[in-house]
Amino acid sequence: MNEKKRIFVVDDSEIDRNMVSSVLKKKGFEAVPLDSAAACLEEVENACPDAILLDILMPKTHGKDVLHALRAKYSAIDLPILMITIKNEPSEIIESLSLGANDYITKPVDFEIAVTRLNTHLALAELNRDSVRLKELESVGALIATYNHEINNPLSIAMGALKGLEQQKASEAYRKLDNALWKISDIVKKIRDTTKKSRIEYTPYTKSTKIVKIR
Amino acid sequence: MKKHPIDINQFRSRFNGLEDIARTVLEEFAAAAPNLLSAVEDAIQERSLTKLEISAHTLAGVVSNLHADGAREAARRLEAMAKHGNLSQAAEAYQTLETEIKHVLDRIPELLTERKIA
Repeated sequence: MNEKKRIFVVDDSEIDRNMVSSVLKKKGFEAVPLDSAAACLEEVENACPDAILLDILMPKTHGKDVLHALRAKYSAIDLPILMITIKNEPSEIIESLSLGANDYITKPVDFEIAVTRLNTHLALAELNRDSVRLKELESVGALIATYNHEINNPLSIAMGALKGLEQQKASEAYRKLDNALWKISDIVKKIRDTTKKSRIEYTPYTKSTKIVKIR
Repeated sequence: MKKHPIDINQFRSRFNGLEDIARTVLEEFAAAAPNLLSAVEDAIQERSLTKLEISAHTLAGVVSNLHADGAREAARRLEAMAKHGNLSQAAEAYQTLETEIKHVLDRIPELLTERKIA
């Protein structure tokens, strides 16, 4: 099932907050309206948002202070933050981006553009997560190859020694050992073949999710 | 011809397909405008730069969503005055803001009676 992306909408203006949240809900997001910087910082730990739309000028705590605090814990890839404000002076935009904002949206918000930008940052975050998962799988593959190599060497030595015992008319126990070792050898071969053939493939599943295949 | 306090073409274009949200925004603004204005007026009377900057900024943001450019500019002017610490013309600027907001409020009931506004 395709889970809805959870977006925090942080704005001290109730009208703006509700409006943007309603639009996001219509566009298929789970919008969480929050009325202050403090509420945002408190909820971010519990609700784990996929992205935050953050007003800059708010009473008590400035949006840029929230941005600064969040960036100390979450990178721009881990948690996209888009500043949303009526202030459109270049210095404001540059400062926000320098502090780690992913993007900057000015009021009046053009909903289509805002949702497109939001989706872009969410897609980049997802791509990064896929990349991390791919690296993890590659590490597992490398580990299997190492184990395969480590098992194979002593196994070869043991099988050689067994052959020597067989030539000396070994007992039933040795024959059983021989069978067991051949079975282990077969498994090692299968591990080696799997390692050689394994690769990750992404298959589009729906518009926004993928299935990861190992072949 | 008198200029419309709300740029209705811009408003319709932005809320295209979002009829219910457009109506809600207009209704919520009509209900909240007196308090939003009071916050600005109180800040001027208290000579509080911080409060004036935030209250004028909030109001500017809200009216910008309605594409009420006159009201937006009046609120932005007050916000700038607060930011620069100069309230010498704040009372006059507030009068302009109040008038602009009144024009917007006068237009909203008429808009809401239209069958389709977005």
